[in-house]
Amino acid sequence: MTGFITSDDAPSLSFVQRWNTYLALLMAAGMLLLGITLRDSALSATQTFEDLEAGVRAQLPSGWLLETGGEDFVVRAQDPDALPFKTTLQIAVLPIGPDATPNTVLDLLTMQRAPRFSTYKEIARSDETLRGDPAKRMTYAYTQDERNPFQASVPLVVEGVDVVVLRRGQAVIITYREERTAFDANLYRFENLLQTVEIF
Amino acid sequence: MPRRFAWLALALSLIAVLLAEALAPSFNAPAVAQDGDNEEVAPPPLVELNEDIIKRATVFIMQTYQSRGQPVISCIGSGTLISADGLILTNAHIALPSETCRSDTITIAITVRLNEPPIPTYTAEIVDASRGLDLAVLRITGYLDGRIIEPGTLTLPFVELGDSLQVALDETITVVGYPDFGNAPVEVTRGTVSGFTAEARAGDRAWIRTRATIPGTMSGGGAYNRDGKLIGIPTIAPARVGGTTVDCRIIQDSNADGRADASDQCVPVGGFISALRPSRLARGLVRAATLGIRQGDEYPRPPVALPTESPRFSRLFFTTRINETGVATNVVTGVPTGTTSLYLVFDYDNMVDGMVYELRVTVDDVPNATYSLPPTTWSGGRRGTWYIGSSGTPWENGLYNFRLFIEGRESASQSLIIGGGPRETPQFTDVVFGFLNPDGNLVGTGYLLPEGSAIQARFNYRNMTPGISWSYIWYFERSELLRDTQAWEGETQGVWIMPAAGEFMPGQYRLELYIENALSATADFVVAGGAQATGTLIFSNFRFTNEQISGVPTGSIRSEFPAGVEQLYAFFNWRLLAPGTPWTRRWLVDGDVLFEVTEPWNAPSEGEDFFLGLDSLAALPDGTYGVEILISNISVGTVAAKVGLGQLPVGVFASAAGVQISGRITDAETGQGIPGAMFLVLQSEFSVEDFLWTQSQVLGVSLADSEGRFLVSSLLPRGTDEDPLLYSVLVRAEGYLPVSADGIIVGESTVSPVTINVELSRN
Repeated sequence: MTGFITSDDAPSLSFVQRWNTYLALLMAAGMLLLGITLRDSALSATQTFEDLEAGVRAQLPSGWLLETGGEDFVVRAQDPDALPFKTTLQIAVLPIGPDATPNTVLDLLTMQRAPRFSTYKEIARSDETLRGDPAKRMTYAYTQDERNPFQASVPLVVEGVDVVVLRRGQAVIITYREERTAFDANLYRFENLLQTVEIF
Repeated sequence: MPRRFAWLALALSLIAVLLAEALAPSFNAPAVAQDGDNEEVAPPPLVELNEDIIKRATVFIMQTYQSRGQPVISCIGSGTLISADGLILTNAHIALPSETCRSDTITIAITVRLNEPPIPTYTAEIVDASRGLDLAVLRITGYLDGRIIEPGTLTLPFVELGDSLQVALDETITVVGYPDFGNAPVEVTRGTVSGFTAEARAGDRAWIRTRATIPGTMSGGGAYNRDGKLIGIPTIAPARVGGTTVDCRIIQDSNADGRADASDQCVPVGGFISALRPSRLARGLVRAATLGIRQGDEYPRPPVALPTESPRFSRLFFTTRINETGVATNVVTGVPTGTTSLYLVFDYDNMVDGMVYELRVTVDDVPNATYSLPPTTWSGGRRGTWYIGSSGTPWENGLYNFRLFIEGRESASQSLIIGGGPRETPQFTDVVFGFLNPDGNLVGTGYLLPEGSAIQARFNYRNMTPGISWSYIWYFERSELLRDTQAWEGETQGVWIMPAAGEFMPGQYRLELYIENALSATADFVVAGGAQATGTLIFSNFRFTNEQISGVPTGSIRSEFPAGVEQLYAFFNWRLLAPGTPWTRRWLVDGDVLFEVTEPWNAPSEGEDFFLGLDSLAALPDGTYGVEILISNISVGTVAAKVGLGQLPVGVFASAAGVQISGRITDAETGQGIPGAMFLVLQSEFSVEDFLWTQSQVLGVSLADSEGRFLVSSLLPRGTDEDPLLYSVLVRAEGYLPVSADGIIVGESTVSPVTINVELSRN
């Protein structure tokens, strides 16, 4: 007759084994934290952008596609990974007359955009300060449709915000654009930009 | 806790660290498929240019006007995209407003899905048009909702112009266009080249004839050779009788009376097309539009009033030879079997460019489409001599009847028999004009002579018999000057030189030679300018400037201009040129004719500071700009000036010659497209490893649509086959491992578009 002897009692670990286990777990937790920290730092890493001619210095997200010297902006950064809209941060400098106000500049922007952006609509304007200088903030929205008629895309609702600050004969316009549903989640990138932007 | 859990935890932590690194936004692995894979890059397969691209490049054109707040369609036709940024080649009669085509907007509908009708998408403007050649180039400038399209932002499929002179008889061609009012998908029809029709000014290949069955609404579309290059534009003008369109359709209630009936706008459709305008004739229009150049201000002349008398054709005769200056060298009333060249020559009066004319030919009373010319627009101006015919193709035996129609009404006719053996009848041929030098030889340019010369006519004769009656008639401006009839006293065959009495004033002359009262030879010539060596001097003191006010050059006179000038004017003086004399002026850039206009001289017979202008949308590209003036097809003035480097920038037409890159980005697991995924092509100087994420390194970017399809907005410039350009691409999408590749090869023979399909794996 064959019989099996079973027991629920696991063999007890020795002191060294137990501490080895604790140490391994601790190390795993530590590495996980390190990984998360590295990931966060990688994702929120910035690079310094500086344009001495335009007199603008700012911290822009690292790894974004940077375009400089466009017809209507000094720098434009776009997140290459973002879906379905490429999150956009932009700094533009516009020459203005001596009597122009931030409101005038926003009016001009609205008039320029209305024929170019489908269903462009201004949502709100408010006063704020940018590094102690009076500034004006405008939020707006429009639908972005694919220009290429051979590509099938449902139009996206894009929300944007401009902050305008004036300096010697120029208006500096800092812009953030994002797909409507992700607008609030990524707004911190714009606020970071506002905090780091230097106009000289 | 078991020991293996400890190792698992350790492994997990390492994975976490690796994951964090992988998620970092910078990467530079030069891989083909997935990062980490270092296999050698394989070039994408070359995709042969197929019908799909041609179909997508074919657009449906509607002329519309607003009536009671609603758009009304007045005319329709097809067109072809010839550049990615929206240049369209079509017929002028489809794009230009006219009595029957009332228009305030040109609407462009495009084929988005190949098996569906076109979708109205854009509005367009006319860049330039030739009513005579019935060709026009349009540019897409806006969306239907009124939004403006910024230049250079469109990325549309397009076709390239081919060499229409290389088209051979019986070659298979593919014709693409829209078969009806935009209710049906774009249609492809095939046929063979059945011949070529010659026409004055455009030469022996003024038309390519085809046996393909082409509906009238495909007028303005494209005909393609085997390489998929555009070699012709199907062309037919709607037939009209007394200004009323014969064949038209009522498609909407344009007057809003609740009924669509005879009182509503009738859209002309024409019949069936059998003639193609060779793409060669559109080359100047296309190049000028691509360069952003147009004809500028010119010497002010009084407007030419429209003729008040009825248009007519007269003095019809046949010839088997047209020389290089466009003059018929013989007159025939019958030709032997095996004839391969035959032309109908006729005078015309009171014509207007854009009028519709037609030639109907019957052979033994049976209509023959090959020798006929379907209703087409007139391009010869008001008055002169014209010819239609063909060479290089055998004419079958039979009794031919040629009937000419203007606006649907018969104007003149002439008959001829082809058959039998060579005829040995007396004949005069090859009339030319000149003056005798001291050695007794006839010198001169043939058909353009200076004022006051002792002009002689020289012609060949054969099969003559002594005593046979022959006569000559000299004309000046179509009025008879002198005639005489004599008995032949010469040899059987030879060369005869006949003096013309009197002084020759500037103007147009004609000599007709008859044998026994039957026209045997004739030729026209022009007298203008003063004698200079063996030629004539009409235009002098050519000079260029880039500024003028009221016809006075205000800029500096020079032959080299700095880069960036916006206008260019060629000034010159002239003398002894009779008003009404046809003259041709050409603007050339680096030897290519951009603009050519032939019209009667309508300024005083002599003067100073006549000028021709060239204008640009922004700045004239660097290049050598030339002006050439011709009278009787003989060049009488050529002058050129350099702008900038004196040569068009290399690759200036690259936008029409680059390679499109398109494809699909999909999820590797599901096969679904990834909307919003970014496909990025680097400039050829940079590899993936060199890429620093700055736009200046980027050639083009495209975001995938809802089905994952992408189309890069910039065309990839070509290298040579020996030294191709290499491009690198990157594909990014949130939640997926990035993909990159180097070594996309683009040479001269790379067929556009290049299709790249990418599968991304989730990270």
